[in-house]
Amino acid sequence: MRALVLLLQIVVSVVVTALCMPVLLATVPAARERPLGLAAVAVIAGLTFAGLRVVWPKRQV
Amino acid sequence: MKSWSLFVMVGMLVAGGAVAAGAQTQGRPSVYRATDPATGAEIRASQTAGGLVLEVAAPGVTLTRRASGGRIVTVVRAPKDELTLESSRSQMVVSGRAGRVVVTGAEAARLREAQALVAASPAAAEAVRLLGRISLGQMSPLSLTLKATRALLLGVMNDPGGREALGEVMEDLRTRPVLTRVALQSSPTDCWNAYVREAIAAYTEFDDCVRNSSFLGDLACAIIYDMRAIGAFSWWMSCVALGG
Repeated sequence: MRALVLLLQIVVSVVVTALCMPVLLATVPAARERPLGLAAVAVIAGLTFAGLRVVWPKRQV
Repeated sequence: MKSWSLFVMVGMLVAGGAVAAGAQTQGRPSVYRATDPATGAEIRASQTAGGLVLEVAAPGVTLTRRASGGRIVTVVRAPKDELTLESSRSQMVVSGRAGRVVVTGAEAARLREAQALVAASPAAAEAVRLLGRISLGQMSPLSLTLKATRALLLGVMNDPGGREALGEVMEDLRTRPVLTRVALQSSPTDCWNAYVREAIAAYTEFDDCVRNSSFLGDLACAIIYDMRAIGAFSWWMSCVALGG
């Protein structure tokens, strides 16, 4: 179950990143350069994943 | 083993390979006919149950060559002479009006007898002359087999022209056009640049779509944008081999 939740969080992070990147690339020309663009991908995916880890409902013991 | 006997063996191998290459080129249904414009010779190749058969018929000489199961039988017929050459990996048998010689391994004496038998055959000499004049062009699937047959006959006759003929066969093999699979190799930067182009196009399309549509249209625009954006991102991940 924990592995499934982790997988789901990763998938959601990737999807969110995929949806945000075109907006970023179209509005911030500097992000079109590969180093900055990759950094943006890492930041968006990392923040989304971390946020999901924090807000994901935990089972009450 | 003397150099000329080695040369004969190489000639046999090349001739066998050429027949196999010819068979591959011909495919199915594998009956091909051609008339050589220079000599008027009728050339016919056919795939039968007994193997690949090549026939060359011209006034004064007929050559039949049958290849199957690693064994090549070449029969040359002239009005007053007939010569048969059977060659396989282990032995070569030469038979004609003057006798029959079986050559196995490095039997130099036997090989000389076989050589004398072929060299004395008017049919073999006529076949060599005919094959030397036939010109079907390099692109013909039969030209390589015909050249290899001539090289084999000259090699067995221990004719100095045999080396030249074998060289022509090798050159023909080397320069023959081949079909090769190729792919354009992309780098991670190429992947990124392609992704950026696609992502910007997806957003621009979404922007235009939203400006010119109603609420329900906005939903459709968003769905299309989602699909295009996720598709582009997963393509980029696959392009840079992220996730396997």
